[in-house]
Amino acid sequence: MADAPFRRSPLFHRPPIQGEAGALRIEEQPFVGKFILRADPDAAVEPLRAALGLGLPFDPLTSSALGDTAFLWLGPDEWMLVTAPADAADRAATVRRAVSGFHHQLVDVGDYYTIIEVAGPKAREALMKLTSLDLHPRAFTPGMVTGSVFGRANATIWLPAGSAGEERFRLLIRWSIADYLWCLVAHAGREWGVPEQVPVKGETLTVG
Amino acid sequence: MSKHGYRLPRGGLIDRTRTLRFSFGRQTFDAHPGDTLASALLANGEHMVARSFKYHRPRGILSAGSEEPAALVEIGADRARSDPNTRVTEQEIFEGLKARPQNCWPTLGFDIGALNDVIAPFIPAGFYYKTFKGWPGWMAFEPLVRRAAGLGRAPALPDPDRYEAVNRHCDVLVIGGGPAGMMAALAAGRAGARVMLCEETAALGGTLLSRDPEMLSVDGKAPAEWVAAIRAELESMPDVAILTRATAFGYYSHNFVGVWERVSDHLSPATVPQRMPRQRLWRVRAKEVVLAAGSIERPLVFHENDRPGIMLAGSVRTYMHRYGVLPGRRIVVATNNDSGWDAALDMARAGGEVAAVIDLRSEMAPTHLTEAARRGIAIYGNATIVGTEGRNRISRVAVRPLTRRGGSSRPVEIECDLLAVAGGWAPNVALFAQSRGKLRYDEQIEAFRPGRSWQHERSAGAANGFFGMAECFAEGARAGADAARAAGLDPKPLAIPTVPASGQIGQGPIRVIPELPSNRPKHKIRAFIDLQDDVTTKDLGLAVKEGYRSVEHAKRYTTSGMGTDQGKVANLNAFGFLASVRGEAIPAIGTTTFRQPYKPVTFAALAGQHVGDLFAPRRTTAMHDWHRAHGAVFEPVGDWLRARAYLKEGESFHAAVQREARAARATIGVLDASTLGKVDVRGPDAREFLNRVYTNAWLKLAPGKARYGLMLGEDGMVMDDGVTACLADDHFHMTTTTGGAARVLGKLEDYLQTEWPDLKVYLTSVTEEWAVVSLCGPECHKLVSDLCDGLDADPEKFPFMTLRDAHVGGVPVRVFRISFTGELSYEINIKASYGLWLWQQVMEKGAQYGVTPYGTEAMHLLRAEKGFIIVGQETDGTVNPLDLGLIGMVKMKGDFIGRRSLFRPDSMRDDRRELVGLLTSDPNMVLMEGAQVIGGEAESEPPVPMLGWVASSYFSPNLGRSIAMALVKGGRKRTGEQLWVSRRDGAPVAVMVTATDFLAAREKADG
Repeated sequence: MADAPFRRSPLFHRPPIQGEAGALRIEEQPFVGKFILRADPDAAVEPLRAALGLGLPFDPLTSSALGDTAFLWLGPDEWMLVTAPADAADRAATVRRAVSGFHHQLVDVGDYYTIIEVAGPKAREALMKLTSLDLHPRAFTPGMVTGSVFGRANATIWLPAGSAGEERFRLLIRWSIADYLWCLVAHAGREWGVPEQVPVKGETLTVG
Repeated sequence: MSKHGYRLPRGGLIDRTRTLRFSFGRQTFDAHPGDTLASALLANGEHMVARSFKYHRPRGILSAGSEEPAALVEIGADRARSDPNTRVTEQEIFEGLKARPQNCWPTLGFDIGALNDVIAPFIPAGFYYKTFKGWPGWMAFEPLVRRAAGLGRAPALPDPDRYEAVNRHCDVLVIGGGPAGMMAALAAGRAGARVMLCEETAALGGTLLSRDPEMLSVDGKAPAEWVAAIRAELESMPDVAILTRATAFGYYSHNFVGVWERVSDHLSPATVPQRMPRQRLWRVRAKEVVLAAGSIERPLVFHENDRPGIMLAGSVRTYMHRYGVLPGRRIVVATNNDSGWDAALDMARAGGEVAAVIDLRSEMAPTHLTEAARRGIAIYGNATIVGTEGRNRISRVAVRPLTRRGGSSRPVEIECDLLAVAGGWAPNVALFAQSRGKLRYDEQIEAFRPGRSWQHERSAGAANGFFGMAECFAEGARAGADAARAAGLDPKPLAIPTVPASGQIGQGPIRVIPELPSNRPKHKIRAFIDLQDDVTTKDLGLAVKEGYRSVEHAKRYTTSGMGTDQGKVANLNAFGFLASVRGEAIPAIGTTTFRQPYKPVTFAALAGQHVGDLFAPRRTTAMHDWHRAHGAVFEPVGDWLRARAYLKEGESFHAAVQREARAARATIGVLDASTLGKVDVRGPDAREFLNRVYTNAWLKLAPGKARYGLMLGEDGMVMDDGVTACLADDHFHMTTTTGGAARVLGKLEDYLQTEWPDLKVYLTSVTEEWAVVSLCGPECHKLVSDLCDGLDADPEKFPFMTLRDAHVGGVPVRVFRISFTGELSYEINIKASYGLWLWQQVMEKGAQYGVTPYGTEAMHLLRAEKGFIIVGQETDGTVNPLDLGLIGMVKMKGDFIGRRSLFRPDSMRDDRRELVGLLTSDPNMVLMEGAQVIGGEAESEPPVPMLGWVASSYFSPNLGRSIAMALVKGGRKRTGEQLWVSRRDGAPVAVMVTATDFLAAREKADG
């Protein structure tokens, strides 16, 4: 009996895909640590800087990052803490200690969302087929993050700053809807040779 | 002339080295790459390509662009790809193209529908409204009329092609790739702006491509060369995008413009690269827009002006210089301005025999007169066309002076096979008007031109009423720079290309006559205004006579401008004629409204990629694969797919539900409850917050305990329900219904931010962070104990409505002892990524207890046995807690959302519909959900007084009989009373009104 616990990410069944000559590459980044932090920014910023060496971004649509750890601005008093999978528990504990002295909320949403990484020279063009956000390099610069509708799905798009060389967009998408968005991104890449991805389907809905 | 008959020996942008074959109807023709269907047909001498909408009159090719009114055909080789109402002037030729005439039977040449033309006097404008009144009425005739009317046929099979929508932002969107548009794009592009240049046809250049390169040079180059050089420069700019075969079809608010790109319609389906979509919809948000969509030439309005072989003079020039086709051998030109003369001389230079130029004006340009005389062209000044001849193609034109001095002068008849008409140019103001810009009538050009702008746009070139080539270049450069500046850039002045003096000339003075006089009595003149819908001047005159004086009314009464072309060439003539009939000036009567789309756009392009498998997202849980693999039948709940029942081999749905429901009360049932909404509530005021949100009291709930809560809307009606657990004094885990999750969180955030900003509470959705396995049944505590390390789930030690933290295989879980079935029940919450593993553990370790997965149908049945409500099934937004008999859930002290409404007298009436149980006398009869509850054995004459309806109805295996819950007027007072439930096919069924907790009633009876 296979008793050992195993984890499955929502896109477990989707190996990475890409278009010709790497024009567009699509890959799930499973199990990345994600936490929602709600707090008064003025109260939280200094304790967090002291604990993590990382400040909270105050400006809308921005992020702050140190190594693999980043804060994404989601609202005036709301951020997402993103960490490497292995660091999640440590970082969350550090943050919790730092903000424990005042009203706050720190919630693990690591399994709520997964990340679809979209990279390659055609990444911006492909994503513009899904969202009405302006993703031109002049308008959407490294470090920016914002929530929007992609096709019919809500997602958060983040372009981590300082990724040397190539831009790798990250779409934070709910577990339940990730397969839909995966297939939609693949559809957007069809013109550059990304293979067709058919959503999981075929469930019996009617009873005879 | 070449073997194509009407192909010129040289010239045009076609590739003469290659020959393509295409078919039209039963005939096959040759063409060259670069041809449109129109140019290829004309090269082969085919003018007549269609039948008109109403009278089925022969229709030829009038124009060379998207303004074409009547030359519509069906394209496509098969029933899935047949594309009706395609303008032959826009369809590009590819090898093997198949085109078919439409709106005719049995053939284009001999069409039974043409009988309508014979009875034309009996079917004037508005005949529908006059004829189909009274008995038997429109409904009786509609099927016949519908069959007789209509143009193309819709494809019969699903569309096999792929489409996509693309979003773009830019600084400057230039619409139109002619001389003005190219200059505008260049000016803005050089300034560093993000530019999009959209051209409707396959190539940039616009009117430059319709001019004789021998006669017009740009900066000393042939026009096509200049175009290529500018295009190359634009393409070298990284932030300039050029779209060809792309029509800006809709100008919406905030400079949002829809552009429709035909990506591969010009290619044979066999050669279309698999990866390319057929069409794209570009949704463009532009800071600034330059409208350089050119101008549209209008025809002259005279008796019998609708024969094939009558073409717009400017379009003839396009066919000559862009496609190398001169569509006639003996040509007459009729004009009311200078541009007709330019066309006539062009045709003569290209080797056409121009028999005559007929000018409505008496004063003509001396240079034109001299040149025409030198070429032996007969000149009729101040003249009118009194009629034409030729069945399927024009063969003769009759001309006479406009003013008859001293008696009648007999018309002169001139033989011809092409009549080129030049009625003057009208700026293409459709998008400007769509943008809410104000039109201004210019008597100089006798047309509307852009006036005051409303949005961030400016018009340039012919679209702005400047028709000379030099003016177009200068206008474009100005507009492009202006737009770039407005977008925050710093454009530098641009050198304006030089063109020879002849390029400066536009259309010169114009003389518009709304309807040319003929020798026939006025009522016998058939002068067509709208060639697609067969609207004549007589129809418009009748409309005015019958009181439809407004342009909008006359349009709808006659259908003028209501075809697929929306009257692009017809409208201005219609306005002019209406104005003349009413004795007013055109500006006084105004225009009809210019609406999106500028031309028909396929639904497929609008739907884009969001069709078929990608039509809408479906949400699935972490255990979805297991459900699929184990015979689950699913039901959609919101966007979720939830397992409804697990069918064993050969088992019916009903049998599966009965088996699952039995197991859940006999051994152990297990349900995937992951979809329930979950909200993390945190903060020192969390209790107070919950106390205001729920109808019941929350101030004293101890950590480790859970409570069921009802949430009302501000109207006092039940909005949502769920169990919320206290994790710590300032920390709660709230659950909501599956469908209500987003709505509830939104509403609670709204209250926190706008009503109670003083409360220190944070809310975060954690719905999908947790996979939830719900175990139910008398034995289930054993399985929970087996699963969880160090947790004794004995109900004595793990009381109802409490929770415990535990581990399964070392993975942290949160276990709630809560129940939605009335049976012993536990819900194990685990991080979603472990959900499938936990489910498998439950199935493996539960096998010894006979664990049975059950779906939502059995879950509904089980809770109904206990009389528990489902929000949305027992409630519909008009049901309050008192109606549900849940007065015990309503606290008497303290406020909560909906309290004020709940205590209105009307909310407490004793004859409101209340939730009750219903039992049929035949225990095997299952009532229909939604059936009406009535007070009598026999239905009286309608309207039958309705007492309420059945909300839930099942056959309960655990009670061995049918049960139902219903909302019945004054229901609780009727307990023990007999009522009836109506049926669609049978006498009403007698039912007994009971309490809703059927299980408790059984236990009482048994005990």
